[in-house]
Amino acid sequence: MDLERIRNFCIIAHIDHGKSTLADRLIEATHTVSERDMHAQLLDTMELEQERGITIKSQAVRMFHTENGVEYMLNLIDTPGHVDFTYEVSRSMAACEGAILVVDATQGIEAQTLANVYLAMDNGLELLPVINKIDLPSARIDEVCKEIEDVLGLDTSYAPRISAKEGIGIDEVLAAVIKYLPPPKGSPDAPLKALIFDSFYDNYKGAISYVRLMDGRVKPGDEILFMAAGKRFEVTEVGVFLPSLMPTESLSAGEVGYIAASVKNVSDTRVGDTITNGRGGVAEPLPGYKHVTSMVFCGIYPADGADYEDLRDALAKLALNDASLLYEPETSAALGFGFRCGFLGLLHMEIIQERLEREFDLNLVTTAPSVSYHVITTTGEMLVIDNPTNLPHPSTIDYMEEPIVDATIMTPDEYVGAVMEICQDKRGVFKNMEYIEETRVMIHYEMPLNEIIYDFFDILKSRTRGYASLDYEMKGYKRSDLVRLDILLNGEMCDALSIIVHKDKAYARGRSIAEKLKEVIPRQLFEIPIQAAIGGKIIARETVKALRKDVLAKCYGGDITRKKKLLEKQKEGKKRMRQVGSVEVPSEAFMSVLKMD
Amino acid sequence: METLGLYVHIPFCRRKCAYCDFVSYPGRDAQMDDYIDAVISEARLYADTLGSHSVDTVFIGGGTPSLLSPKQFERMAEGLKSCCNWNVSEFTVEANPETLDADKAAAYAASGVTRLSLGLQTHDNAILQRIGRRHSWDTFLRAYETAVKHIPDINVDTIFGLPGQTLDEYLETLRRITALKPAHVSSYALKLEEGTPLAGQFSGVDEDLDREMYHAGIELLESAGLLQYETSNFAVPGRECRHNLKYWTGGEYLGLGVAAHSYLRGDLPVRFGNTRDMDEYIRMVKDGRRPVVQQEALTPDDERAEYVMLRMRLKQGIAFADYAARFGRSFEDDFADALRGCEKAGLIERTAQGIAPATKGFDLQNALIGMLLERL
Repeated sequence: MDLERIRNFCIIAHIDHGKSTLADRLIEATHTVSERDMHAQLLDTMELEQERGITIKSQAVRMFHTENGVEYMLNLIDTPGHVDFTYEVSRSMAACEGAILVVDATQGIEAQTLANVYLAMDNGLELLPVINKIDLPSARIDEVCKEIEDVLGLDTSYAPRISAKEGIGIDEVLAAVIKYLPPPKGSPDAPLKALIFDSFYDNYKGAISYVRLMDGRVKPGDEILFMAAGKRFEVTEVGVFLPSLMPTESLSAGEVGYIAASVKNVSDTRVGDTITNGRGGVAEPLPGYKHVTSMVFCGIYPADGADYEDLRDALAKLALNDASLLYEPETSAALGFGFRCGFLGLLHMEIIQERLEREFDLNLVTTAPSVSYHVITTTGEMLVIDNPTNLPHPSTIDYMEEPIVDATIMTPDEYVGAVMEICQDKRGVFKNMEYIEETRVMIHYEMPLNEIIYDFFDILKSRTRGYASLDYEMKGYKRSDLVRLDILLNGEMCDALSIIVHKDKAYARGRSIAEKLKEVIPRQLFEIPIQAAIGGKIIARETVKALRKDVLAKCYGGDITRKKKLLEKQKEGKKRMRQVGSVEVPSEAFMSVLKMD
Repeated sequence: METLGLYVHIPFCRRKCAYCDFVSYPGRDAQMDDYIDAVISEARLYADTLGSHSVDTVFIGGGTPSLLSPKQFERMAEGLKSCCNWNVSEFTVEANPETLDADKAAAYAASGVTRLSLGLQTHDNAILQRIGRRHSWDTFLRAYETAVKHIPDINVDTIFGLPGQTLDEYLETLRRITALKPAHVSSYALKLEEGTPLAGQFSGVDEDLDREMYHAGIELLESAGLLQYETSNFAVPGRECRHNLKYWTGGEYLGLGVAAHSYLRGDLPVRFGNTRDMDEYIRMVKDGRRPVVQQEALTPDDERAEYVMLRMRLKQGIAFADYAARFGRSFEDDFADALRGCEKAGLIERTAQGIAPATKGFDLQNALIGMLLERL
């Protein structure tokens, strides 16, 4: 197809601003999917995405639209909106020339809007602002337009004002995409140069690469080279997204589609890699992407030790389609065999845990999340520690560093006091504050990441009645006075409950963890002291009193069925318990240490 | 011929007690005659079982069996006798004090009743009223005096941990009872059953008080010559309830009536239970069908688990030789790890024959059984 008649674009937005709804409307308006097959959030194919109303994984769809008698091919790449998935968003952006920026007319710019806009600008994308939810009585269209102009520097005079939910202004969006977003450049006759922006494992076709062709052509039978992997394959199928996979005869420059080549290992179709011709291809690959770094780590263990193999297989399957999920085996004295996993953020962690439990029917025990610390030993060596258990003895530590992020918080100005108080309490360092409109401010703080992954977001939301939004990006490491807080149950240390905290926070955290454990650990045959300790010094203590009475149902009249049922239930319950020394600890105890007070 | 216990459930009562979750229906006395007919018809549906067994114990429970008129009672007893090998040496009827009179007691005796179980619960009239009982201490005393004139063995039922009850009040109840010198006393810890009115108003006494009552109660009863033989049961030696012992020692029993349960060991041991719906019960029996709605065949492992679960309610516990004779295996091998754990936790004691629950084992019976059965 003539490049002038192709538009490759993505939609970016803050969570809940209507990104997936707009995508649905565009698909409907272009009759890409039959009415029978259409349903809400069409591109969010995971059950979890549908349920939570979020996008986790990018999806692409090819649409056709006729404007002024000319037919255009529109390739839409749907992207996640949450801070954790910035990496995923930036990958999609590299395959596009433009982006629709959806802003909720009742909410205005949020922290994630800003982050996504900067990301789009870094990727050289043309931006088309779209004002959504204009049908709502609380819509502040003019104010929000002014905000976009002042804060983002985007012209809103041509921005469509729409209601994706009500289907208002959808044709205008299509027209604006064609008019204002640039067509791709490139030459179909040049050597093949295709960027892999995603990959997916199909049981029949092998690893499938989602690609954007910058130059050249590709068709079944062609020999191709994955440049970074250095491997050659014969193309078995090419095609486009409708959004299901639809084979085509070929793909050419400017188009978005997929390539299957009987690739056995997903690791060969590395996201960010460049595909070129097997012979006579390009010499230089495309720039690719930054390597993904895990921000949050936790231990994941099967609740029933016998499920270890199943957990390993499940992680391997998830990792096939999620390059940002890292895992390696680890052992814990309390929890046995499991895995240390690295995630992009808390939401990513939560989603992986939920998918493991749901899609693979596993019962898990997860430990409190940790970040990655730098430990500089007295011998001058630097260790990277993401599991508190592995922290060397304090006498061998010269000093430690913790990861710091730049946090951007947007909030109505009435909550500025509350927000600052929270940030201060979480060891934040104030950077600056600016008004983005009369009553809304943007505050910048430098914050330790380990405070953010604790309960920062929950507290921020609850103290601002849900109005504040947060975005953060990694800034670097900073020297910090950190200690390991250990928990002893009946005198025995439970490795899975250790955490690394700032010294000033240790007492409060120790107390609160001991109190929480007292609530979740059931009374047992003997009294159980719960102690929090730093380097052998006890800083908090609670006691779970011994059980005095534990008698089941009556057993009279010869009916023992109820008693048997209760015993079976008890046996089931026991399976969810972990033996830590002499103490039985319920699985949820290991996560309870991070719950908000 | 194997012996068999016969249980008959009488689901009638004047009014539900506030703590009761047994199957009983107030205000349906008009159905008593139909019900008695149904019970006798049901017994006939078990002609094979009854023909191959000798019935040696009978227990009429409820509900309030003493609501039946003397005539109704006699008719039911005669009906049952007519369809089994009747070699009954223990025949128990449950009675509420306010419904027992001399005519009924005489009718019971005439039908062969040897044991009467009177539901006192507490001597404290205020508490009796609060828990929905219709008698007073004086009513009970009169009923007791009437009963002893006709029936050789009397059991008195009591409950501790009632709302407003103190340790002293509970012990006073036991003192008053032991002064009457009954052959048998049952003393149950109040169990708040979900859905009962009492469970909605009262969250139970403090656990420490509950245990204090239990331990002091055992001491008082034993010093009065009523020795504990099961979690909640005490008797003058030799006068334990042999029917109830069947439940805990694997004896066979056939339950008749709504919600009644049975345990039979034919080629394959089986437990089954009747419908809880009185109309359905009567209808099914009339149609010539056994009114069974749940049934479970027991595997050898089930049998062993039940053996442990039920025997450990008994003061005498488990005799290793009996276990070996019953299952052809060694108890000490089967439960080696669990035994060590239970002993270390102070839940069991070694006896000359095997093991028995320690006091702590009665307090923490659930944990004890759980530990023993963990590997099974």
